Amino acid sequence: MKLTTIFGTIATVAAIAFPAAAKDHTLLNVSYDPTRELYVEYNKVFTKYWKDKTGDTVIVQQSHGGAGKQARAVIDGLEADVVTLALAYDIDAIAERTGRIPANWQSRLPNNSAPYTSTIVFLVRKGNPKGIKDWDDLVKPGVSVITPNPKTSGGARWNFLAAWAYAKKQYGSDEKAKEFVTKLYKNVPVLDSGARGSTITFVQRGIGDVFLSWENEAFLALNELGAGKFEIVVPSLSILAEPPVTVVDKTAKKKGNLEVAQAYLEHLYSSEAQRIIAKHYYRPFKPEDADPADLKRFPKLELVTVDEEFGGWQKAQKTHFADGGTFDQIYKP
Amino acid sequence: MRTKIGAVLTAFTVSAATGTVAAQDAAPNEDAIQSRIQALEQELHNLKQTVNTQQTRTNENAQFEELDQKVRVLERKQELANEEAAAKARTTPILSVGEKGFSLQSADGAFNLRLRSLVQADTRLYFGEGNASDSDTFLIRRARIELTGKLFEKFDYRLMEDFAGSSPTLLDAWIKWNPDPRFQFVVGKSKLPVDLEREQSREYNLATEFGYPTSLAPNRSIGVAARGLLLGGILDYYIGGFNSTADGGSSVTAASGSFSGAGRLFVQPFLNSGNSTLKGIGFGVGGTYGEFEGAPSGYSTVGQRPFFSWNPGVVDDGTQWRLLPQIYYFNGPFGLLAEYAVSSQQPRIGATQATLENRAWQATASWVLTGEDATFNGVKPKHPFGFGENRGWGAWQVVARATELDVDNDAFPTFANPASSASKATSYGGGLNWYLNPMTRISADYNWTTFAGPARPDENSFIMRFQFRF
Repeated sequence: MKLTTIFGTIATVAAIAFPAAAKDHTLLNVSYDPTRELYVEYNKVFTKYWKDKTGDTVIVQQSHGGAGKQARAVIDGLEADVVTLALAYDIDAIAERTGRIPANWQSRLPNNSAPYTSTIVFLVRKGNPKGIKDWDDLVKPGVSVITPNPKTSGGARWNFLAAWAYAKKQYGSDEKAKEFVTKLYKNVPVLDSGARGSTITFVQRGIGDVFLSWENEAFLALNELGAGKFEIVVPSLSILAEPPVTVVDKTAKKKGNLEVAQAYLEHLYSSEAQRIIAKHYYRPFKPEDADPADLKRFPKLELVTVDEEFGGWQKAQKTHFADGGTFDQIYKP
Repeated sequence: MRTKIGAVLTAFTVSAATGTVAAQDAAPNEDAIQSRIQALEQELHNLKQTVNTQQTRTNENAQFEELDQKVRVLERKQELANEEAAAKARTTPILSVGEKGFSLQSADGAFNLRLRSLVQADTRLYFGEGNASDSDTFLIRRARIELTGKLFEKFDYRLMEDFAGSSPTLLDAWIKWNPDPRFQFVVGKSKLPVDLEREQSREYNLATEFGYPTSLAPNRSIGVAARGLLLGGILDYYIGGFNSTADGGSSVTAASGSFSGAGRLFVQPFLNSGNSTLKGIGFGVGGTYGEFEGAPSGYSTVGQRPFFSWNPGVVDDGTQWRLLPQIYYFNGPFGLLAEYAVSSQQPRIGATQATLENRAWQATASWVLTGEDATFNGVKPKHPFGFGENRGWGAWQVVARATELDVDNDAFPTFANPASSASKATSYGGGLNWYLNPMTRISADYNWTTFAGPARPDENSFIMRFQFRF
């Protein structure tokens, strides 16, 4: 018997058993903790947009957690098509350690690949029983502060840097700033791994007097998670948080998703998406596309940037959050 | 509260002043004044006590709140520790040891590795006229180490080596793409499941040695195959292409141009029905077709002594085909397995060639004395052997078998010597299997074999086996 006959017969059986699959895409968006609700709504909009444009079906799966942990998961093999993380350093780390993202990733989309920004504010209990008005109130004895762990959470790193920036401006030096954040973290009773975990700690478990929170997360708690139970306190100074997004090129290409992954992120800059972004309490890159009523909710406050104040994320990470960095020095659980 | 005390003091002062004025207006009554002072002092005392009590309560509330926060923090920390442990468990490989051997599995189940072994230690004794005692022996029939597992969820693999012979033999080395139970694709060296008894895992065979139809079927070979279960498992199909092998033989490398197609269809029509009487019936047919160039195999009795061998210089050179109809039936403790085989080959010696058809059949019946179900995949004792709770005597099974192999008469005398080879062997046997537990089995078979052909005494063989599967 000829080998060709054998293979031909087997191929025929296989062809009968398995007809060709339809052209569907399943994207995995690996994101940080508080973006769940935003992407649930955005994914619906995008899948419809893509279906109308190409006829293809897209299912977007979401994975959320502390940004640092999420980046580690991608580095360890989680097959993300896109990452939408809390800060650029975590995406840099993925690019460096896996080679799956080009080094120039941040220049591929407008506004350093940040379709939305946010900042850090205080969430306090109704009536502000501890009279918290600014950062100085957080280091007072008897004030319990809720913030996640900067080792695993992007939001927590923004919190840390905002406190440091305030203290440095207020007291004049890095040494004084270090003393200030040391006192602050002495008032932290529990460190969650991500921002959503801290929200649960503060809102649902009733722990702490003040929650250092993403602005969007604070609004969410104020209006939806615990309506009537909390107040937002806007500090005199905070930090401009720029959560970036990018395609994990090699993974998306391998999965046959490169084109749809790129479109998924580009569409975040569309008018439709920018409106959704503002609706979910993120500050849109193009405010002119958002509902003015949504924009009115954002308070005006002095914002410093990581680049200006800390020399960029690479330097900030190395100084404060790397092993043996400032945080390791000041925080003793 | 301080305001209230102030009011009382004011009232006291006013009262005192009023008293003074009143005293100027009328003669003061000292006793009355004294009495009012005492009353007011008492009232002041009471108020101070009230203030102190409320202060104490306030302090208690503060302490309570502080304590409440501490408890909440401890609970939350425990909650986070539990979450972390659960998350860790989702990525921690699982090591397990049990009836199915050692296994190591990735947390998501997409990868695993299982280490198993099979040891069969035999005693062979032969009785009667012409059965020289020098054939009696102890031997290790099989000593297999097996690595099986899964890769990327959809790929299975198996590597099995047998150390029982004079040198280790690679029995299985295959990888199977397993996208769906309806279609599996196997590449490598594997068992050719065209006959029923070899399709059964070796540890579950009812008798210690195969019946004669298996002697005519191929053993293992290298090739590719597709296999699957259709109609909810009712139809088991198998089709593949392999290096050709001699009867009962295995192939390690291909002879030039010697390829065969192999296939099998097996139906269990009542598998998914509620009919318990017919549920365990299955029947089908297997076969091979191809070219074979190489040395043909001789045949041995079920007592494992050769009774037919080819003349020196005989080679198979031409078309080779086999057909093996087969059936089994299991119902409660009863089991029946029967098959027929015909194997056609074209042996050649020098310029002389013939087409020969050798035939064999067997029927094996069994009964589990201890009441467990007999199945194609063995007997699982309800009460493993031992002493104590849920222990007992294991499972006991009796087996009876008749089997025959008939060599084509045209093989004689050109291709086989009628003076030394029998043309037919018919064996009748009975045996007892003791399943001590799912991993351990002791078997004893007696077989009486008669021969057609040269004057050859009947063979009386007794084989006892200790089998350990882990």
